[in-house]
Amino acid sequence: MPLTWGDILQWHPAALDSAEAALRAARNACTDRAGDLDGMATPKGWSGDAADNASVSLRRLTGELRDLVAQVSAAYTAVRDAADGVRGVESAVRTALDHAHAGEFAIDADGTVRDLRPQMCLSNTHDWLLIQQERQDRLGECALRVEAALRKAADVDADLGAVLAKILAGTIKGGDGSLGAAAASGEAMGRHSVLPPPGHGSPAENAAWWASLSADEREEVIGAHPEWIGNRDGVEFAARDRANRLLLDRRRAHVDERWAILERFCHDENGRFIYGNYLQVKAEYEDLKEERESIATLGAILARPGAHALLGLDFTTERTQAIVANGDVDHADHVAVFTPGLTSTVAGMGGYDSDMAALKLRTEGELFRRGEQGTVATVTWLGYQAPQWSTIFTSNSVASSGAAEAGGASLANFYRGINAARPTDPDLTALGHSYGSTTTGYALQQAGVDVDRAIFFGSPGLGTSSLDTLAIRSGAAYYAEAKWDGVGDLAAFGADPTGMKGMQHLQTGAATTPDGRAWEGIIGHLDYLKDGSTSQYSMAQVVGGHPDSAVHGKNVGLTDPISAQDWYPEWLK
Amino acid sequence: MTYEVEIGALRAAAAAARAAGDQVATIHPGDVLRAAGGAIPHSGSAAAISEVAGVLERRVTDWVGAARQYAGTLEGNAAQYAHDDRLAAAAFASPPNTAPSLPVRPAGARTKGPLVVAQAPTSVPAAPSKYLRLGPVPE
Repeated sequence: MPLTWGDILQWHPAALDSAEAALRAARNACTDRAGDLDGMATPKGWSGDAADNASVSLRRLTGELRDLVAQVSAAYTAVRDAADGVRGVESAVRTALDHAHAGEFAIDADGTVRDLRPQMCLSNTHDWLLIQQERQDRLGECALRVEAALRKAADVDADLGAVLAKILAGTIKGGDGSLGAAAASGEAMGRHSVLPPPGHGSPAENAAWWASLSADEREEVIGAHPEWIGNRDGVEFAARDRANRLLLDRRRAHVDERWAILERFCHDENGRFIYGNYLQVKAEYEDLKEERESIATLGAILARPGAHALLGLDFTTERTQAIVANGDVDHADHVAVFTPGLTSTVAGMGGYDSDMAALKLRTEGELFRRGEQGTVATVTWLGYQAPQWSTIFTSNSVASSGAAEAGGASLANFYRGINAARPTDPDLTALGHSYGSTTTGYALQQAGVDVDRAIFFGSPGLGTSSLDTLAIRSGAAYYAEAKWDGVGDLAAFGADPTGMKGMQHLQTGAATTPDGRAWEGIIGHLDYLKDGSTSQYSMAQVVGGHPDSAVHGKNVGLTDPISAQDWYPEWLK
Repeated sequence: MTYEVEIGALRAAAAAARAAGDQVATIHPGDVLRAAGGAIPHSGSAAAISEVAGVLERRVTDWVGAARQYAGTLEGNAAQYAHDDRLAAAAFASPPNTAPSLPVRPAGARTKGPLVVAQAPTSVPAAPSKYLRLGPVPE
């Protein structure tokens, strides 16, 4: 009979904890007799049949005690790990119940999740569909958490059952060594494996899996399997950060070692460069060089003051990918995810991180001025292969939407992961610059991203010509375009955002806010996030959940589409 | 190695075996283990836990019994050797034509037959050991 939700609601580790303590004491009571076993040996000079039989008896006794110690030790670790596993089940049950409570769902004894909230009626079809989708996603997420709890319980049961079966069959043996060795061997045989993450799991599945691990199991995953979670959307970010820092250290050691080997290979004993040898290892050399620069930048960013976190790290791609946060994404009230564009690299990520640190401070400052205590986290997301000038004639070219589409799928999972990893969704804003706005646009065309607002700036297009295709509420898309920003007028990937119906426009010129503060105007493609600029101020207001306080307005130029001109009638758009 | 030391060593080995048996006898993994099944009701392993509890208890009991039997056998041998020693000493010390005195029977020692080390639980009767050289086992 498979376990049911009703069954596992009754699971508690206390009795297993007691058994663990008793078995440990039993194991110790046995191993403490090691001295007695030595003392039990027959006198050395004793010979003859009686002595031989006594020796046979002693060998049998010793062997049986070793087996007993091994079996008790196996039972001890099996019960200990089962207790830990039950704590994981409890955690999974608790988070599922929390989700159900927060989302107004009910979980029946058979694990069925029911929606308790009456349906809403909205006149805006786009928003109604969006809300329905979000509701369905939340219900699905809750159901996944129930499944994960049941899967975890089944895993605990199977692991414990397997060890118990071996004890019953007497196949756990203590070997020929000391009682301590027998205990160690038994402990190893009784150990449960940590439930691995779901293969190709969705962020909701990953979050449910992570929730089903006990604190000890999570520590084991971080320490022993950091690659399981470093880039796994849905896993809590503090754990991802720790895992990625470990992976970064490992990679640094590997790269340094290989670099030293190649350096020796490419130089003679007098230190002269051997070009022929270099040509043989050029490909690896170039890769290592890129990785060294990336690792150096990430190391420097993580050493900066403030709460930096490494939320993603990937050396398997052509160019290194990384995701860096300023602030606590697991708990911040407001989270902004910034996706940079053309020529962005991890090695050059330091400037973006500074921009995000400044935006975080600006947003918190603006919230503070309102008397709000909201916390903010900003993220630089470079989890895709941003086009480079060197790739202009490849499929990864800035002229192609391929990188943006692929990156958009990953970015969508990152958004989903933020919501899935937390018990309560943050106020989430997507920021996309240049080609990164195209990537952001593609991400927002996917269902279930649950992004509250989006700000695009200097955009060559959002991969769509209609905001209706984006999974954000009406009026929640903002666009900023500075004077002399040619990229913003390319309309290379869908319509020019300046002319898109329903788009809210943010001022990029100099402005003075009603409180008398003056903000700097910007021109060109690169300064939207400049500290103290009007555009940065407006982004801070949007990120902080007060878009009405942003400085609205657009700078329409001759190169903008006719539909974007102020004189163009609304009814023709 | 002297005869006295051998007897002392046998007694020490017997004491160690008895101590080990007594110590292991204090462990009772069964009770708490059975109760542990209540932590995971309706699971397959909850039932198996109970079974394992019984098996471990039985194995503990068996081992304790075997250890005590081993201790008892060594003690018996030691007592027998001591008894033989006294008999031999008395035989050499007695004047001719004097009837030997009835030996004191040590507690737990055999008074008939060859020295045997009993094994647990499938012991084979042992042949007399080299210590018999000091004198015949009294009839």
